[in-house]
Parts: sequence; C-alpha cells; structure tokens
Amino acid sequence: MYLQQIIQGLSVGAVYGLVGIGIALIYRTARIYQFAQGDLAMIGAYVAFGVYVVWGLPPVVALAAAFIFSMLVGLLIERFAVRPMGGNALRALISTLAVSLLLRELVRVFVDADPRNFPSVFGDSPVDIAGIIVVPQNVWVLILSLAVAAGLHLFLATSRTGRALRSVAQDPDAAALQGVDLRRAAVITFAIASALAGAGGFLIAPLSYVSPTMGVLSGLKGFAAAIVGGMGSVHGAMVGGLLIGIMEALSIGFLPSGYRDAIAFALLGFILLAKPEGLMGARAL
Amino acid sequence: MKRAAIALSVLVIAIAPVVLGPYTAYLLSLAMVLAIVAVSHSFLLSFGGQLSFAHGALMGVGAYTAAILGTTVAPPFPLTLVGGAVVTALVGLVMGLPTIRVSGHYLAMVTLAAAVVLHIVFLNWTGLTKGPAGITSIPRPSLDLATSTLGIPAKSQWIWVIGTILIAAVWLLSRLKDSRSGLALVAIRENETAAVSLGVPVNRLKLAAFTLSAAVAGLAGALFAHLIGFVSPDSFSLVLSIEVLAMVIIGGIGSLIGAVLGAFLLILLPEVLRFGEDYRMIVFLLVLMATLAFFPAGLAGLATSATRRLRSDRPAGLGAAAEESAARSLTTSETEPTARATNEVG
Repeated sequence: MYLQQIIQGLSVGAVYGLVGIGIALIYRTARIYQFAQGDLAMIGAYVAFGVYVVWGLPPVVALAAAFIFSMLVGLLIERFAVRPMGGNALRALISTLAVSLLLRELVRVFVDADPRNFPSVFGDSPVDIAGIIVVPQNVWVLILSLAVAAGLHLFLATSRTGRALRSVAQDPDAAALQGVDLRRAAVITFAIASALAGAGGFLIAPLSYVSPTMGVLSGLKGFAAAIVGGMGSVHGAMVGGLLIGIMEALSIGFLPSGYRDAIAFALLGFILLAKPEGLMGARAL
Repeated sequence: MKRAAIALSVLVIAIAPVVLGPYTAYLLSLAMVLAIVAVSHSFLLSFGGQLSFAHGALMGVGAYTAAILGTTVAPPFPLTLVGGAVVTALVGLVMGLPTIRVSGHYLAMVTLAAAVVLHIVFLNWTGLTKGPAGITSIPRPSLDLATSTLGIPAKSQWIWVIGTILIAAVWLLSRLKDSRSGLALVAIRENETAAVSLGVPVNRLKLAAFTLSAAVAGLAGALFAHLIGFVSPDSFSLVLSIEVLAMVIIGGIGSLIGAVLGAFLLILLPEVLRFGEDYRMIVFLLVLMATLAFFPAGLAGLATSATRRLRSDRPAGLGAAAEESAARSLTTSETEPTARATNEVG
C-alpha cells in the first residue's frame, strides 16, 4: 500500500525533476533563471492534448509534438525575452517571469480557460504485479522521465555538442577561447531545456488536469528541485525532484491535502538553511 | 525639486476627495496603497540590493491581520494598522533569517518559496483566515468632521489617510537611505565583502532592511483591508508580487518616487485605456518586457536623462548605477555553487 503511494510520488517527482533539470541546465550554461519552464510544460501538455485527445493521434505523436512545440516556444523566449537583456541577470529573471505569466494569459484567453481532463495514456486502473499493486500510468511516467534524463546525460557526456555545453558551464571565457560559440550554446541549451519541459508536460498531463495554470506549481517545484539538488547540478535536479515527490506522497494522511504543495518549499527553506549549495552542489570555497 | 514635489502632492491629496467622483477616488486610494508597497519594495531592491517576490504575500499578511483584528477584537482604528505592520515585520524577520547564510539570488528564491507558502496558508488555515471565502465586512472607520461640514463622502476621505501615510513612507525611507545606516546598506549592496571588512554589521543591517520593508508592506496591507472591506487569498498571490516588482522596474530602480509613479501607471492606465478585461494582463506584461528591453532605467531613468541635459551638476546615472549593482548582486553570490570547478557531466 505504501509502495503504491511511493511509486506515485516518484512518478510525479520525476516530472518535477525533468522541469528542474531544464532549469539547472540553463542556469549552468547561460547563468539565467528560466522562470517560464513550468509554463513550457503547460504548453507541451496543451499540444499533447490537441494531438492526442482532439485529433486522436497516437500518444507517441503527441509526445513528439509536445517536445517540438515547446522547443520552438523556448527558442522564441531565448531570442526575444532573454537575449535583449544584454546578459543582465536581473532583467533576464524578471523577463522570464513576465513570459511565464504571459504564456498563461495567452493560453487562457486564446485557447481555453477551463481545466480539461487528460485521459490516461498507459492505463490508470491498478494492476497486480507479483503481489504489488501498481498503476501502470505512474510506472511508465517514472520510467520515461528517467529515460529522458539518462538520454540527456549521455548526450552531455559523449557528444561534441554536449562537451561544448559542459565547457561553457565550467568556464565561459575559456570555452570561448577554445572556439565555442557562446550564443549558439545558449540557444541549444534553451532548446534542450524547453523540449524537456514539453515532454514533462505530456507526462504529467494524465496525472492531473490540463489548465492554463497547471505549470505554475510544477515550475516552482522544479525550481525547488533544482535548488535542493544544487543549482549547478543536473543530476541533483532529478534527485531533488524525486525527493520532493516522495515527501509529498508520504505526507498523505499526515497533512491536510491543501498543505501538500507547501512541502516542496518547506524543504527548499530547510536546505537553504542547512546546506545552501544543495545536496549535490559543490561546496563553496 | 523635491520640496515642490511634496507640496504638489499634498495639494493634490487635499483637493482630490472634493473634486473626484467616488469611483475615481477609490482608484486613487488603491493606487496609493499599492504605491506604498512598491516604495517598500523599491527601497529594499534599490538600496538594499535584495530582490523580493514576497511583497504581495507580505501585504496579505498585513491585510489579514487587520481584517482579523477588525472583525474580532475591533480595536481603535490606528491599532489595526500597527498590528498589521508589526505582524508582517515578524513574518519578514522569520523569512529573512535563512538568508543570512546565503546572499544574492538565494534571497529571491526564499521569498519566492515564502510567497507560495503564505498563499497556501491563507487558503488552508481556515480557522484563522476563513479560507477561500475570505474575511468580509471589515469595519471602516469614518472621519465624520469632513462628511458633515463639507459633504465629502466618507469613502473618499480615505485619500487623506492613505495619502498622508504614503508621503510619510516615501519621506521616511528617503531619509533613511541617506542616513549612515542607509549608506552602509548601499555599501553592502555594492560589495558585501568590502563592507564586512569595513566593519559594517552586514547581517543585522540586511535583516533590518528586510524587516522594515516588510513592515511597510504590511501597513499598506492593513490599509487595503480597511479600504476594500474584504480580503481573500486570491488577492495576494504571486501575481501581485510580480505586479509590485513591475511597478518598481517600470518606475525605475533607484527611485522611490519612480515606484510611486509605476504604481499609479499600472493601476490607473488600464482604466484610461479601457481594454477588454481579458487583454489587460497581456498588455501589462508586454509593457513590462518592453521596458526591460529598451528602457531598463524606467520612468525615473527617462526623467533623469531629460533633466540631466538641463542641469549639468545632476549626478548622472544614479538609477543605472543602482540597477547595475543590484544585478551584480544576483550573479555573483559568495555561496554560489562552484560548478565551474568541477568537470562533472551533471
């Protein structure tokens, strides 16, 4: 019984982790806080809704559509909301915050204001596997999220572009001296992170409603995940996300459900007090 | 210049309740309440270098305190304001404590988290806050003298109360910023390490600045509660905090009066332009983004560069300097994880 709760928590947490990975990646490479990350997930969810529910196409197509569309919106954000800020962190931060609200409003006004039910893609009736009762939806979301994260890790570790991005994260000036195009690196980072968010939106949509504000809490919790894990650490963001998911799941029965959303932020405050650089962040000199 | 501005505002505030219709008077009162919050936020950001996403929620704390006091204990009017300010100051103090160990962007994150948590508390602590329904019928004290003798509607007289408090707040914070502590605060903002080496009590000052800013925001919240007569969780979500931040940015970082202008602009302009209610937010956000991209110094910056051409002795780019160092305090934090030092993949 507890196991079922934990798996559900892990699956939700894995999606927070996906959002958080994108945030951590952008921060590491472009030194920018992407506040619109959660809302990019919302966009992905809406695209997936349109493709899967309205048009009736297979879920794989919906995932790909969410992936691509969110990536495109993310590229727009980089070009028009981040790049004009001239590298000033404060302005970029407020700008992405404004974008976050703007995306919500645009969807609310021009697409659909009411919450929609997203039917389960992998089956939401509990199934008995070797005596353990699990909901396939949760298991698949967890597996897919971890797979996407692992794919990203492989990309960063082995590919040339991945190595270029890592070099920018380590030392932008040195990377530039080695011939890495910093602007292209920023663009690629935004593309990857936004695509991740879109995938996250597709994965989380069946777990709850699709609405213009669905990205708010996921985005903020993704931030919490990234900070808890250590703002510069991509692995840490996933760890942070999973931790938040587990804690939320375990709180059922202890805490009135309204307060469950506050757990992620209580954890954030605690980490900032105890270990500000995060669970997997390098200790400051 | 400043004395002229004060005299002008006093005049406007004195006359307004007489000449304005009830709805316009209400709008002006609302704009002034939000201007108080914006000023508190601007003080913290421009001179303390601390970015806060919590001021909307802090205003809510003050509002709820006044609402609860007003509907239960019902003390004489000024006490609800004091109560609002004090309780919010305490909340601000608690919020500020975790940030002593960290600086820069981490403070912003803590305020972000706190704003979310406070909103959740407003929604769920139904015993105290009555949950989503909110608290209604908050008593509004009336100033009988003007009603009977001059025939000014009671609601409009709030302009005098709020206006006086606004002017007092701007004056007080202005004086503070030029005081020894204020200069020390700016020193912290410019270079915290250097400030420490000069013997500046950094932690105490940062906390004090945050607590003071919270108190002023709470005071505004209490005024809000009495003005509207009704408080609910939705009035104090993160969106409000972002609106306050927008007021400060559009008005211009580094200028308290800019914050007031920003507040007035953002409250009064939609009324003038009369957009379909749906598009109001979208337009507002686009204006904010355009300001960030093209006029980062805000309205105050435009005013400064305009008068600079007239008076060569005017210090150039104060707003710009304030913004530059405010931004710097976000990118170079002393406890920033040194991801640069490692060669990890993740």
